[in-house]
Order: sequence, then C-alpha cells, then structure tokens
Amino acid sequence: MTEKYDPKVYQALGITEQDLEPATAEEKASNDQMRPSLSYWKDAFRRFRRNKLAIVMSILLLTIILLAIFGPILSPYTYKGQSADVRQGPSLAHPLGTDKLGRDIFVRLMYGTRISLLVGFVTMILVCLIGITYGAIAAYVGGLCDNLMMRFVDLMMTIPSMLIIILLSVVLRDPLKALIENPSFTALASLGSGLISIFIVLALFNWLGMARSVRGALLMNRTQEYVLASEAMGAKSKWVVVKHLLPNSIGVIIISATGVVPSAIMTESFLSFVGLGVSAPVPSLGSMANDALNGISSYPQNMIYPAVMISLIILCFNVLGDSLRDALDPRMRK
Amino acid sequence: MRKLLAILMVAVLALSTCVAFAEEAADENVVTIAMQTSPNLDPQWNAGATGAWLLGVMYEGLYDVTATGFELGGAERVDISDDATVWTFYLRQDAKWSDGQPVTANDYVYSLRRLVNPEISTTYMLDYGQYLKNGAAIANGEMAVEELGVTAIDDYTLEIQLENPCTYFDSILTYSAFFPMREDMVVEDGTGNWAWDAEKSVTNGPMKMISCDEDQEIVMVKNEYFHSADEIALDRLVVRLIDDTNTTLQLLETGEVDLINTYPSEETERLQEAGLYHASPALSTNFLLLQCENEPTNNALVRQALSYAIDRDFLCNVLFLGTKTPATTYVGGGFPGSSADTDFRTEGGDLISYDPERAQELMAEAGYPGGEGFPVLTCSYSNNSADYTTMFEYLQAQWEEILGITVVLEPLEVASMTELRDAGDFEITPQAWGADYMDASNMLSIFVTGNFINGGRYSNEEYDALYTQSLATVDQAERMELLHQAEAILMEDMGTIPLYHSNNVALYSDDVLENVAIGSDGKPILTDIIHK
Repeated sequence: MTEKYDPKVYQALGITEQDLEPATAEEKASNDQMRPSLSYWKDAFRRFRRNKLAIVMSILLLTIILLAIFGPILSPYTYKGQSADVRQGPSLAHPLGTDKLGRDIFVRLMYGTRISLLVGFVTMILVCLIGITYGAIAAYVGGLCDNLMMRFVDLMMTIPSMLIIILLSVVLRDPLKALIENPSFTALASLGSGLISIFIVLALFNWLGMARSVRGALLMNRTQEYVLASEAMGAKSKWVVVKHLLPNSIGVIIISATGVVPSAIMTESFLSFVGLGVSAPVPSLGSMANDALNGISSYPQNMIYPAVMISLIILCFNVLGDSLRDALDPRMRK
Repeated sequence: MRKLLAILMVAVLALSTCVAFAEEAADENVVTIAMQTSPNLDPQWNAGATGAWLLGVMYEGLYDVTATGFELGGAERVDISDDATVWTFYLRQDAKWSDGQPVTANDYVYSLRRLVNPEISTTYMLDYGQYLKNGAAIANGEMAVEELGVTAIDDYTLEIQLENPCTYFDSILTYSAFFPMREDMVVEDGTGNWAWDAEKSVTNGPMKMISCDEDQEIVMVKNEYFHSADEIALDRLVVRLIDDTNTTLQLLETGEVDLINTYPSEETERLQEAGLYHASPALSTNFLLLQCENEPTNNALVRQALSYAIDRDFLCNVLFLGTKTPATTYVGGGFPGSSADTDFRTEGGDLISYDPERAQELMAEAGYPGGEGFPVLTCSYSNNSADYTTMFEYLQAQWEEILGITVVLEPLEVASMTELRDAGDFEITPQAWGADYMDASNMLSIFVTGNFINGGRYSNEEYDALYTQSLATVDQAERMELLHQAEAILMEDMGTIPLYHSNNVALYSDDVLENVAIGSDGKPILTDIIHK
C-alpha cells in the first residue's frame, strides 16, 4: 500500500518508485524511541553512579552515620561514665584511649559525631522549611512583595552571622532553660538548652541561600508553557506551586540542602569550641577539641580524633553536594 | 617610588634592630617572664595575684617578703605598744623614690588615707582599712578621712594606731595595699589605670617601670635610687602579657620567656619530666560557694551531703595529677598556730571527709531520699579554667551517682561570672582565696556576714561573734582557740565546701635561671634571679 507521490519528487531525487521499500515494524519502533525512557530520578542516579568519588564518599558517610548511631549503643561504656583509668593510650578495652576523667574516647567521639550529624540534619530540615516557603512566596507573588522580601534577604546577608549567632546563643540560653524545665517539654530536656539554641540560631541564619535558590528556580519554571497552560485551565496558585513549580525545582533544593549540612556542622563545632554549644558532659566534636587544647603537646591524639572526624564529615557532604548537583542538574555543569 | 619605599623600610628595620641591640647591654641580667594581660598596677586597686607579683618588685612597704617570712623593709625599726594597738615605725632615711625624692612618712599617710576613703577605694580595700583606728567609721562615711589613726610624727616617723589589738599586723603590712604612694602622681579616675603610665609610675622598690603597654609588654629596670640597689641581682625585667597558656608555654620552651606561672594543666606530667615544673604549697584554699538563702542549698544537711560525696584525694591525685593538695577542712597548712612552732591545721585536725553512705543518709534526712524531689542543681563557673571544667564534670558525675540528683553545668564568660557571683545569683560556684598575710584569721574573715567574697550569703551569728572576739584578743593561744571554734562552726554548717589547696607553680629551666627562691607569699622573688 504505497502512497502515490508527485512524480516530480522522484525525478528530482533521481530515483524511481520501485527503489523504495516499506519500513519493517522493527525499524519503525527504533525510529520512535532511540533509547529507553528514563525517569528523572533514574537518570540522575545513573549519572551519580558514574562518579566514583561520590560513591566512595557515600559509603564513608554511611559508615560514619552507622557508627554514630550504633557505636555508643554497642559499646560497654557511656559518654559520661568516668573511671580511675585516666589519660590512657589506645588499648583493646579503649580503642582510642581514655580522657582526663577516664571516659572512653571512642564512645565520646561517636556520640559527638551523632550530635554533629543531628545538628546538620535538623538545621537542614528547618532551613528547608523556612527557605522553601519564603522563596516560593517571593517568586510566585512577585512584584513589590518579591522585591521587599528579597531586599530583606539581602539585608540579613550583610549581617556578620557569626557575631549574631554567638550573641543569640547567649541570649537564648536562659529562656530555653526555663522552657526545658517546664514539665510539658520533657522531650526537649534530653537535648539540653545549648543544643536547642544552636538549632534555632543556625536555622535563622542559613535559610537565606536556600530562599534565593528556590526563588530563582521557581522564577525560571514560571515562564514555562506548562505553567501557563495550568493557569489557563484555572489552576489555583497553591496547585501551581505545589504540583508544578516545586517538584521541578527539586534538584536545586536538594543541592542547597546538602550545602547547609557541612556549614551547620562547622558552625556548631566552632560554637562548642568556644564553649557556647552543648553543655557538659555531653560531648560534641567541637567541645572535645576544646578539651584537648589544654594538653595539646602531651596528648595530641585527643585533638586529632575530633578534628579528623569533623573534616571527614564535611568533606563527605561537600563532595556529595557537588556530585548531586552534577547528577540532578546537568545543565549547571560547567 | 616603590624602590624608595623598599629602601626606607629596610633602613627602618635595620635601625630598629640596632636600637634593640643597643637596649640590651652585654652583661645585663635580663629576665623575661610572662603573665596574663592587664595586671592592675595601682597598689590599692589591684586585687589579682599577677598584679601583686609585679607591685612587690616595684614598691617597698614597711615590711619586705622574704623566702622564710618577712622582715623590716622601708622601716629601720618598729616600736609596738604592749597591747599591740600602737605601732611606731622609724623609716629608713636613705629610702628614695625612683625620681630621687626621699620617701617620707607623709607618703604612707597619704596612701593609708586613700585606702579607707570610701570615695576612692573598693570594698576589697576597705576591708584592710578596718584594721586602722577609725578605719571602719571613715569607710562608712561617718568620719572625715583626716581622723584616721595614722600620723606622721616627723618626716621619718610614722605612727599607726589600730582599732583593735593585733599582734600579726606586721604580716598584714606586707600586703601591697599598705605600700606608700606619691600623691602628686596618682590620678583618681576610679580604675587605677594611671599606674600604666610610665611617667606617673614613680615607685620606691628595687625596680622601676620604664615602659608599659598593658596588653603587650611591661619593661622594668633597676631603680638606681633604691637604697640597696647594689644587692639587687636583676638589672632588667621584661613582662610579656599573654592570656593564652598554650602560647606562654611555647614561648618558655623556645626560650623566648624565662619564667611563667600559668600553663595548660594537662601538660603537667610532661613538664615534670622535663624538669621545668617547680611547685611549692600556696597559702590558699579553693572552695565552693553555696547559695545559703534559697532552696535547696540553704539546708545545711544538703550542703553536708554534697561535701561527703566528694572524693578529694581522687580529685587531686588522679584528676589533677597531684598538683593540688586535698583539703581536709577549710584552712590549709602553713599558718602559725597557738605558739610560734605549731601549725594551725595540725592543731585543728581534719573536719571533712569522703563518705558516700553518710552523704546518702544526710540527703534522706534532708527530705530527699535517693535524690527524690530534689530540684535541678546548677553549677556556674568561668569557662576559662580547665581545672574547673575537669572538676565540675567530676562533681557532676559524683553527685548524680551518689545522691541521685540532676546537676547542670553552666560555664560562663569571666565577666558574667563575676557579675553573677557578686550579685549572689547562683546555686554553686567555685571560689579561691589566697591569704594576703600569714594568719588563719585572714582565711576565716571572708565568711563573716556581709563579706564581699561571701557571695553565697552564709551567715551565722555565733561565727561572726567568735571572729569579732578573736580580733580583740591579744593572746595568741586564746585567739587561735577562738578561730578553731569558728572554723568548726563553718564546717558544721558547711557554709562552704572546701576542695583543695593549690600550689604556687613556677616553670623555668634550671639551665637558664638560677637562684630562684619562692617568697613566703608563694611568688618567686624576682629581684634575686640570675639569668645564666
């Protein structure tokens, strides 16, 4: 069932009608689809898997997380259990030795890592909540509101955050202590007022970058035809934002979020180092480093353990964030 | 232009090196020490140990501190009335200020009037003024400053009348607050900062200050007008002011500094092995102040329970590596007892101990069996002391384990800690008191009702009465008996929890310095040190 074409076409091409053969079903199919269809996530994972460094770092991070969770549970010691075996070097009983109060350093290091990771993840969640809401509102409402909201972000960015963080963590201590002592908040008591104030101040100063990236991504997607179509069909703003804009900006959000974690961990370590973080005897990597400073020439290993741990965690998250950006948003690749 | 600038800079650098070389003549005996920043150099405003150390070489009082005790310094002889209330000093006629003017009795009169003047002095200083006749009344504003019982009979005769008989007034006089001062140099601005000005700092001691940058370095040279200048071994003293103990230790180990007295405590063992660590017992006690006005520490049973739960031997020998002596009661060893050759401590015996079971019983007796119903106990301390951090983490574990209570630690900035302590706004806080003079009464004086160190507001009428009575008692044995009784009451009430007695530490290498003697006030006698 060959179709008839104008003979002039054959003539121009220099062929006759007999030269043409109908395509087989197979050929037709291959024309339809050059490669198997991949979902966004599958595609991203494929690209991620090709990055060897990223895989190594993911495994390392996973190991650290597992150790931080199960290390203290499985060890016969607790982070605050003191003994008369003080200032011992590494041994079978104490893999990393004991500190000046006879506490097992391995357990303390794992517990400190747990605190650091907790700070990283809780801050990330809080930052996502604040940043996404803020950025989405600014981008979708637009106009004067957007302008005002983004100028406020600019304003906040000019404040030297470390100073304010130190000030706030001092100021927040007492109100939080009162809050914790209130019997209806007993769940918070186990965290301690220092840690809660760290969550709050870190979230307050880390959402700015997130808000900016989310707004940028949303503005870009807003001009796409499918959004116009959706709006033309009478979709409400909430529907457009939640069903179209945010899911299509998920790459940007994930990348910003992984960036927040290492910076939060670093800030927490710094605050604990200067004595504003978790309250003793709860260890954090920063406070362990601070404790070690008093005997740095005699017991340098006590400084090395937390320092190496902080570096490893931050390195893992930075490499992961980088590879995620490459995987989730290939257009951003240089 | 650039070349010119470079040449100029090289020239300046070369010049400054020359100047530096020129300053340090070949056989000068120069000793460099390091201490914490901003020592107050006003003899009466200073309340810190580092400031007192420097003041001791800059000024000379009526008595000098020596390695074994003290001896007459600025005075040649003294007449003491039989009831020990009138002390007449005949001053040295060859004593001169660093600008060449003679030191007269009027300089002492000015200084002691300044000590009790309520418009100038701090509460700390007023405490010393109370020994002088009418001193307390003047401090309270009830009398004019001129009515103080200190008079210059002539230029070289000074008469000091005391409010109460005081046989140990000579040891009190070694304290810097009783040094003479120059009225024409002092600037009253309520801080004592005038003393950092090398021009204003005219002193009568073996050394005089020639330059002072209160955040960096103080330089002193021998005072050529000093009456015994020939006997002073030290030619030049350089004081580096550095807060960070790791830095000072490093400077000592690289030889940039010859002697330091603070160091990171965890390095003790290494320093002992290296032969740098030299310690001698200090006349001081480190103790806990407890809030005696509010629940739950206003209950003597609770305070006793807290004390019984502390293993001071473990704390001092294991955690502090033997650098402290465990307290067996409040007043430590080294104070004279009822006669010249007895010790106050040996006479008094041990009044506190470690007894976890007794601690639990007392806790139950106080109404908190097993710690039940006991509110959260907060310990506030300054975050710059590694010793306190270690100690409170230990106390927290002990109290939680033995008494079953919850203890929260609150490390604070030094400034907010001081504020909190002065306001009495704490539950438990550490405090140390080093004796200003060698008498047990000085240690016990701070728990008298209303004393400014007594931030926990401990108050016991019987204690106050015994202490006041001891002030009016001349007979040494009788006076010591009263003080022993007072101490027993303090320990029965546990108005304070004594912890340990610290050591005076001097870190130096025997290869670098020789003839380093520790004075009876616990500080190395700087003027005798010889740099090899």
